[in-house]
Amino acid sequence: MADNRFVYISYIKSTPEKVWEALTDKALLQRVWASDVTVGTRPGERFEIATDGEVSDEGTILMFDPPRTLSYTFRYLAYEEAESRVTFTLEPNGDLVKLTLIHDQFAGDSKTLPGISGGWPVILSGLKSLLEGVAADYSPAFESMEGAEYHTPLKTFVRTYIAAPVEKVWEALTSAEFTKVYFFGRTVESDWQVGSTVKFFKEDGTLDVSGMVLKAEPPRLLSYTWKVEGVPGFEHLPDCWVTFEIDPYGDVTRLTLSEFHAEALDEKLLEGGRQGWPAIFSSLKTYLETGHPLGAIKLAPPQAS
Amino acid sequence: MNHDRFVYVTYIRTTPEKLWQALFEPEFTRQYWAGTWQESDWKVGSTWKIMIPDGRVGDSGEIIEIDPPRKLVHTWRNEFVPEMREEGYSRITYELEPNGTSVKLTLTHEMDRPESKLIGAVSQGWPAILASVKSLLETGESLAETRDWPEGH
Repeated sequence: MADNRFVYISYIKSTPEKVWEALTDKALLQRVWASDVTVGTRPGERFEIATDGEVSDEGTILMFDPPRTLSYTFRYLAYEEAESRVTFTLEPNGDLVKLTLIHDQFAGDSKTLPGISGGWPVILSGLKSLLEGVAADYSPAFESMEGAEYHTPLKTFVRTYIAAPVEKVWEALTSAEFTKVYFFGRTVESDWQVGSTVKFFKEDGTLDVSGMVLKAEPPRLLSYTWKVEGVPGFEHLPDCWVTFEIDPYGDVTRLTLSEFHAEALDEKLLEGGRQGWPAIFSSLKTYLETGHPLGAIKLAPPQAS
Repeated sequence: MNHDRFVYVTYIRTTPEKLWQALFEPEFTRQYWAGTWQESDWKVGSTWKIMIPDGRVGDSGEIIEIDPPRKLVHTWRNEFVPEMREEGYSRITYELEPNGTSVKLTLTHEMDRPESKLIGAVSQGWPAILASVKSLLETGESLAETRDWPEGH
């Protein structure tokens, strides 16, 4: 038996196409790995894992054959070791997908092998849960994370717990009479059908944010694109979208916002969301729990440079 | 190398108590472990058996260590495939550790002989069984493919 390799098999109630997406799509990879994972789409292109802009692992795509086989070389940069090889094979099996990972070509004394042997079960357990719809953004990798906020160049993540029913939180996110109370006076306008527009207006009536509804599953999931209007320098930013997940959590409701960016953005551009969402959530929480808004938080408008 | 071993780690969003129950109580195992159930009085030195729905004993052994809901070790000999039965007793260890809102389950199935047919066979079976118990605890439904004893086996 070859001991200088790691093999892991899982059965996932999903389709090969969806499992493939979870192995290659940037936004889904982010949710499973809690890092920025880049998987090139052609042999010779790059594989990379980065956290807060710092690359920890890299490699080169060897095979990209959707939705059957994905293979890339792998090197953990902290150890000066030769590249190993990762191969995923996806096989449909009734209404399941058999996912086989073989991570091999390690030297006999590799220090990377024990590390990845602990890491892959975390990643692939999280991937199975995510694809089976257990909880969006659920990955054991997230369990070890402290605090309710974290940020990467591609994502801002903010979470809060509110003593109100999920339906009430949904209403607060989707109706103008609520948003104007907790969202710095903004009123939201949308019929919340997938494909419909979403608009946020300032108190003086000018358009502040526009977008399009991507997902609306009341009262649990809402996602729409997010484009800041009328601020010089924000016209040509890459796509941004926000997702709200509203989950019952014991007697309270857990509200999770993820703000995704299609490309890594400059820190200054991300600052608005990072400052703004926690303030908005605090105000929303206070309002739903006490009936009174938090009045005092004032934020500077976003700056493009 | 005169040892053969299969190790599988999975993280399940549940509590150690619920996972322990799902791993060893008949009403749960029947749902994801090919209709089988285990019989034992779960004390050190007690016999342990896994029962096939048609009444045969699938595997048998003896409890070596038990510490619910953290650890179980027992011996395990296949009883219905002659070439596996003659390999004698293997050893299985279940370890359950809380990990945030999940439980880390580490299963080690090993035998003191090289290239064991039994370890080869269970290496194929465990990933499906453990994938199904994870689905059962997280989604409320086991994987349909693992619910029934395969015909003709």
